[in-house]
Amino acid sequence: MGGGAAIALLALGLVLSFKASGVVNLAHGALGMYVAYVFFELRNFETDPAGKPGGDLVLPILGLPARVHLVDRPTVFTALLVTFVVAAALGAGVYGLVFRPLRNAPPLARVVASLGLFLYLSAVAKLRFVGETGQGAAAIQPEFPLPSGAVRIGDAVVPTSNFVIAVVALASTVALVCVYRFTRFGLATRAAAENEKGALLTGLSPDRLGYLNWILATTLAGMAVILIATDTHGIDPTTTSLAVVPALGAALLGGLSSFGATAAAGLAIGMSQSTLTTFQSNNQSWLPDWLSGGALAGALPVVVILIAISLQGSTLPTRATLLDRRLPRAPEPKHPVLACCAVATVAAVGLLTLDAQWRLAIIVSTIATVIALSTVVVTGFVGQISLAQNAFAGLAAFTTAKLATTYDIAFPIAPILGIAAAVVVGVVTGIPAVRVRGLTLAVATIGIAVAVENLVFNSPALLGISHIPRPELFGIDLGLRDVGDKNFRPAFGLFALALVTASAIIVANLRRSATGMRWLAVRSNERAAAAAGINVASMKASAFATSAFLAGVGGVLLAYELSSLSTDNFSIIAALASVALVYLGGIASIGGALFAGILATGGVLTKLNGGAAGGASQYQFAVSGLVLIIVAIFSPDGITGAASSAMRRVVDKVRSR
Amino acid sequence: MQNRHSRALAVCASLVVFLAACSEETTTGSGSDASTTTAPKVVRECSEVDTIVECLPDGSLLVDYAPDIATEATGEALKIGTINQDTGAAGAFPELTVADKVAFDFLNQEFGGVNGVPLELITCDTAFDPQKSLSCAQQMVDEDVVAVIGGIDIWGDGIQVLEDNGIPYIGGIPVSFNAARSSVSFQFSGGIWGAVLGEANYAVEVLDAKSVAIIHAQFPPIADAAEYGKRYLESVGVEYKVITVPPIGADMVAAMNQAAESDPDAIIALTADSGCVPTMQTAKQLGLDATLLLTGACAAPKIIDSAGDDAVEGRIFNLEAELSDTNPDSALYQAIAEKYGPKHNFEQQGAGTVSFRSVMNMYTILRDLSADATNPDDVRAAISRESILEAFRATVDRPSFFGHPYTCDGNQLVDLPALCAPQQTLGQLSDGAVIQVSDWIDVGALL
Repeated sequence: MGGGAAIALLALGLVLSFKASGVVNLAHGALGMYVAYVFFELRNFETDPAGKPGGDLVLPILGLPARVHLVDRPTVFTALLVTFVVAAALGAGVYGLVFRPLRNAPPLARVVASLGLFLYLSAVAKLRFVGETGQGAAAIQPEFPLPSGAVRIGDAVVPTSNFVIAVVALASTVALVCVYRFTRFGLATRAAAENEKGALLTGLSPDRLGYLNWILATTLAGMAVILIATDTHGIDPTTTSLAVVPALGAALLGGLSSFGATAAAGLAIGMSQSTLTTFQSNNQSWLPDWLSGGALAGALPVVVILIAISLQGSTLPTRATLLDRRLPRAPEPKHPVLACCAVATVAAVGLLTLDAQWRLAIIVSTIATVIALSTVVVTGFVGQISLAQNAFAGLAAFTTAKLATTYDIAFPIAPILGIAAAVVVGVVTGIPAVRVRGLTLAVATIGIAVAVENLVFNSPALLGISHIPRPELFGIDLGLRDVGDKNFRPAFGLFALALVTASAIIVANLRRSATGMRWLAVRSNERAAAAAGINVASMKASAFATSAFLAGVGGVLLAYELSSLSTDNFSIIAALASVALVYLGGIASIGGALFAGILATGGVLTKLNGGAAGGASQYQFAVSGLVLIIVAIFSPDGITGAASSAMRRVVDKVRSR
Repeated sequence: MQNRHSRALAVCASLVVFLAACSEETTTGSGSDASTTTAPKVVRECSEVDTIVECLPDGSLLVDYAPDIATEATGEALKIGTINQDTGAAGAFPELTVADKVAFDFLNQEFGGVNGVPLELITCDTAFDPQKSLSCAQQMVDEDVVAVIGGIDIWGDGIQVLEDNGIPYIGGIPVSFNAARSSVSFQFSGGIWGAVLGEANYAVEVLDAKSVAIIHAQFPPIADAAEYGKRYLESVGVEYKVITVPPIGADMVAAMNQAAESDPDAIIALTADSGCVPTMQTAKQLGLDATLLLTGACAAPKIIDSAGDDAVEGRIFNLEAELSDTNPDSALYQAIAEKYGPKHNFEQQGAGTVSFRSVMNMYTILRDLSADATNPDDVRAAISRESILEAFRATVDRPSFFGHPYTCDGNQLVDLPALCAPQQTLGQLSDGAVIQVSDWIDVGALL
């Protein structure tokens, strides 16, 4: 019940911010997390007068002082007051600076901006609440005056605090329903959400309504996380932020409009997770061994969500959903073979002449490039926002490793089967894409990634896979490892390079082919594409299959590069960071993928920086998040797109003279 | 809150400290019980002298290797590496590297290095990145180190590179499968596997438990360790139930409720450090009768403070050390930390103690290898990667710095050949102090 009420509370805030600005805010949990941390830090004092006085306000802006001391040992009321002011400022700031400028931007730009905000807030919270104290997870103990103790209901013992959270969730739902049904503010918000221009004409200010709703949503998120963290005795910058995922499911089930349905869905998801967890732990004897503990609870609600949103969606968007104004440029590659071979030659020369550390950096960038390329195809060319690319890569990697180590299936059969597994799941992932799109699809793909993680990556059958046999083809050893300075063998690097270069050339040719044109047509207007005789569903399926194939190639290479595989190599956070890098580079261009590869952690840029993540790493995610937001707002074509535009302008100027 | 959608980054932060403290417990207590720890007398006696070597505590591991007077080493150094997560968005544990530096300073300035040859520490930060783990290992190859002191490397990918090059990987905190299994890895700890076995054995033998619940975080090495616990409980015919929770942000209320359904006599909670406080507080809140056993990391002072006295009272933890108010190694450690620590801003309590143990155990091996050397060239000739590997593999009940004697024959714990000293002791929190409640448990003999 507690879990369900918590999901409901967060989901209500998501609906609020969507009503205000059409944004499904992936950073909603992160906003709540930061606000809650502010409260707990204010109250983080020792009662001994000689001890720590607490009362510090921690600011979320890098460059400004980290903390400002307000008052010694604030009461709960004072701390809450300050926290709500901070929440209001944060909500207004985020809306005014990030999402208001993106109000008419394509969904991808808004998703990317919310990803940037997510990365920024969780990184800043880590820096200022966890890292700064040097006390790790025990730095701050969440405490809010909730009743202690528990009551027994049947076999379960339920903490009394769970009832309080449930009551707060219920009260919030009723209050929001009443406000949005019976007050001028609520009616105006609904009017603006349905028809912004119409609202403007009748004298309503969508901007003011947006600010107010974002303030409300952020405050609600903060209050929700304060209660939840106190109830569960824990708060963490990353995982607390990720609590938004089940909340997104609830909000989507509520159609991103109905507060009542959203709260009910949140409760249902939480209770179904709890029931499934209990079911699995009570039926271990007959459930398959490969199912990890908690797998059903983690995966099945996601499946329910996918079915629900697929049923809610339609095969073609309605007129009102055709909001895209400016899509990222998808330049037609000129001389792709020449360009790809030129880049590959430079990399090959590097592999053959540079030292082991450089070879590793080139290999890392090469693998990251092909995974980035998979995002370029599905998101850049076809406009389907997929955050499951790392899951595809992981599927291929784990399948290859398992086949090679347990069943002694040799190279190249094992990796081919690994890639095939990724493609199958990729095509399945494409099924919801037929009926849902934009932000909803992004959420659906996160759900699929979560399901794959729970059902596959965490499976005991894949625990501790290591020492994958070296790849060998026609008697040529393509393995990575060797002794001394021969390690990170050029042979593996050249093998990876050949695969990735071939992939890039195929993608470039696909982009230039009729298929590529159809993909772009689907991206720009599905209805128009359908009217022109394009089978939208099959185009989407082919894009997902292609992108899963490319991610699978990357996953297979990772399987042979890393000596052991772990879930965390393919986590959702890594997937978000990967999409962020591709967007920075240029989401719809092969150059963007290359850019993302170069920027990948441990890749060429890391090596150029001296090879040490060192002191820079602690700001890496915060700065990445910030840059991502800026690029989403000001340069949707990414950095390579901006550079090529600038170049074109210069060339045009020179020619005109 | 159901956070089932985590977690690449945050996993690391928790596991690290979690497993760190599986290896070491330095909590000092103020209780009146004779077996609680207090500041050793030896250190107080030494506080007025200039050098530590002049008043080494009797019985310390280093006594037999000490020069008569403090001697500084000079000349060409012997390179030793260390690989550790000094930085990282998911958590930073620089105290391990700092502890290495403190130990090296002491050995070079007072012990004359290794028979006059100074030790040089080559450091590398994995920054919570598997690729950097590989890169660090290659750096050690390129720098031609003779051995690497382990730190915290969640990924452990680099250990394979060390193995390929025959570089010994000594000590640290075995958080990865590679650290626990590699043929060049020598660990003075049972890791999480030793912890769960020791606690399960205690539950069965001392608590007389008929039913045990194991709650474990969903992270491969921890899940594997839970399997070890299951195997042991199955072998002794005790009922068990296994509950999996996310590594970070787990809903412990749900987990504890599931555990309580089987009416267990004991609950073993293998959670990450961020799970310690929620686990203890939830158990108290729900009023569970079962004895709660946790990992040593949960006994860290900062966690005990956060959880509150009521929530921690009576909880049991694995220690891997004998608590004694006169332990000579503990006394030596504190003396060195006080003298050489400030230069590096070293904090005595925490995972740095594990590094210290690793350095000291390696040092005695290096000294033994070069015992017959009469000049620096002979020392360097006697100490090689191969000779160090051979020496460690030949160890049988060799004394360990503040730990159980170790035997690196690869057979101390089944399928985990690198764990040379998996033996456990357990401690219980009582009136704010940790009291040792078990003798050494030979967990390797349980399976």
